[in-house]
Amino acid sequence: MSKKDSYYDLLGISKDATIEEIRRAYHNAAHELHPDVNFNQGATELFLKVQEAYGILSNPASRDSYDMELASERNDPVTVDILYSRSNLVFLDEPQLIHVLLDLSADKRFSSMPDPPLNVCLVIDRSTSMQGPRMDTVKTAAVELIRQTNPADILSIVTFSDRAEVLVPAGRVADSHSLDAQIHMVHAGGGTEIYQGLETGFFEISRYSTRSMVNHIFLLTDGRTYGDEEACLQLTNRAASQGIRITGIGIGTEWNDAFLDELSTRTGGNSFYISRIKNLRRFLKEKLEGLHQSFAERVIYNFPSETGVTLNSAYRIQPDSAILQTTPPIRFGNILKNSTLSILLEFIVQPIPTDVPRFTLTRGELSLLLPFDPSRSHKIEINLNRLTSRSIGTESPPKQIFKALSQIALFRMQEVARQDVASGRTQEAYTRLQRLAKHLFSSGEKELAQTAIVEAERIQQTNMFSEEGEKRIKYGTRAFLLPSEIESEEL
Amino acid sequence: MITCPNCSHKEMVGAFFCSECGSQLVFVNGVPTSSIHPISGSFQKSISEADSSEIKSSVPISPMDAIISMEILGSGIIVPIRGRKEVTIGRRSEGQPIVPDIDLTPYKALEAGVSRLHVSIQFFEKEITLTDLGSVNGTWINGKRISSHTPYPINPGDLIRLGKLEVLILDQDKK
Repeated sequence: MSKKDSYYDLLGISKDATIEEIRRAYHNAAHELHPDVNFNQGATELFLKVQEAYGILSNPASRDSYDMELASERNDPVTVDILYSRSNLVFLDEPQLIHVLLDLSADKRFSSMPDPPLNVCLVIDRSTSMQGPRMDTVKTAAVELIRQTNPADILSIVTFSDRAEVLVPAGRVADSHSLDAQIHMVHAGGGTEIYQGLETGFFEISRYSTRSMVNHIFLLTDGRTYGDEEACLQLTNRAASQGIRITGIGIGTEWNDAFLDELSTRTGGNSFYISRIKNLRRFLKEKLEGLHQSFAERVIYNFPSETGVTLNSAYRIQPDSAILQTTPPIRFGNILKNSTLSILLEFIVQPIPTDVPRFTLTRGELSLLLPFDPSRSHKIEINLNRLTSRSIGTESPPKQIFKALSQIALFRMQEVARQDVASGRTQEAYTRLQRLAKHLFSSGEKELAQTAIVEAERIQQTNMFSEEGEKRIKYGTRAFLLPSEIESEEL
Repeated sequence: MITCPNCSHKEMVGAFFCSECGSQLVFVNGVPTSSIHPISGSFQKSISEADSSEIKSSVPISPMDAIISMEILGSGIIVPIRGRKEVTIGRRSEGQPIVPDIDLTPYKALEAGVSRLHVSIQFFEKEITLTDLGSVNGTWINGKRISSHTPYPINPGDLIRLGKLEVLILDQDKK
């Protein structure tokens, strides 16, 4: 891998930048760095490099051969495209925000790779509250999941209430009919102790978890666990370090979403809200299909802390919208064969010294593992930097970033409203939910807007959300990050 | 710092939206189809009074620089139409790459047969024209069907029908 920045990095543009974008980036850079105006150390040297870059990239023929050279030089299995919310950082005596969109996609060379083998464990809550349609649907979904596995896949099923039982020990599915019978024998009864189920599930999956498999735990629960949260999180860390991801699936309204979120995002997984039990089967089916499409696992972004720069928030925009952690290493999840993993990072930049022509946000590294080539981890450098400028530009921000942020704004309003309620600021929560409702109405989300209004009024009377309304609004606004993730009402 | 024009909350340079009220703080080329619009003060009340079947107002576009507006007949809602040169009208749906500037979804646009990109309105110095963008169910001006992809001049008082949805073009001042 090349240690020096490519011409694209130098101009701060993506590899598929148009001629117009290249020209604009060059003009901006040249304007800032021209020896007549910029006397800072290193500026002239940068200016010459920028000229060289423009010379190559502005000519289609030389750009083509440069691209080929770059590709052969790097040979990374994953392409990283970087898009910034603006082309310059500004010299200010106050902090400023900048957003970076990372698009990670499998190199085309690998698009026809066979499906990786899965090592999947289904951890099912069978507490008393699951009795009835919930348990029946979960059973049907489990039976369907078995049918959906490939011959090379490893499957295990664990049920839990106050204690856990291994219903199906980890192994290849040999006789699916006898498994069906076992699944149908499960009866609901008892409390919800998630640690019991998780530990047993972790043990089952660990028996086979290897670097050449996609290791995944689906945790289905409809209740809250008490007292063992910390133990669960410790276990989760161990799972994450072994490359096991966890998808938390909350059924009904009583479960603890903050806990399930924490549990799953630590592993690069995600949590989901199934408000209508009938949607569970389709949901699990899609998730398993997604695992079969996995190209790169253990996608982890690590970066050293730079003075004056903090990562304020991180979101996975697609394929599964999620709120990511902000302390490195950040687990991004996995990269699918045929779709892009998009990550939005929001940095806060403290005042920049005025003699710096180009400011580095971070010099980070992306590491990932290809299940079909497990002998080594791949590492890709990600240098995030921007030219500096004296004035705030009037450029129009990139559409993708604008769109993502407009959705995130709604999610954030909802988050703050929850904090308001938690700290007893009911009037603030009321006003905020009213505003959120207004925005939801204007984007055509009538139903969610109504929920926000109902909750606003409820908060005024009772000082708290309803469990259902709170989750609906949270997962509803989060789902906007990716429209297709919305739990469809008509199905 | 940036001060939010709607609620005066302070945000850092580089913020796109106000974290307090959700108002948009950046300018995007053309008219943005954002989930977030500037908010007019009186709007808040109308929403909380609205029930699920009837929404009093749903596109709180600030009337600033609007030249004309349209009344969605039967709903009593007046939507200001503004833009530099061209405004598209239609309905938003999932996974749609190009979204209309004005989204009629809240006004039962789907049921009324409004296409995703139904018409566009172009502003010229001396006239305003309307072009059907190849809609499935057609566009009528004052009861006369127009051919698609051809601009027709429109004036305040004209009755436009998009599929089955009727809108009345109004002079901005006379609302």
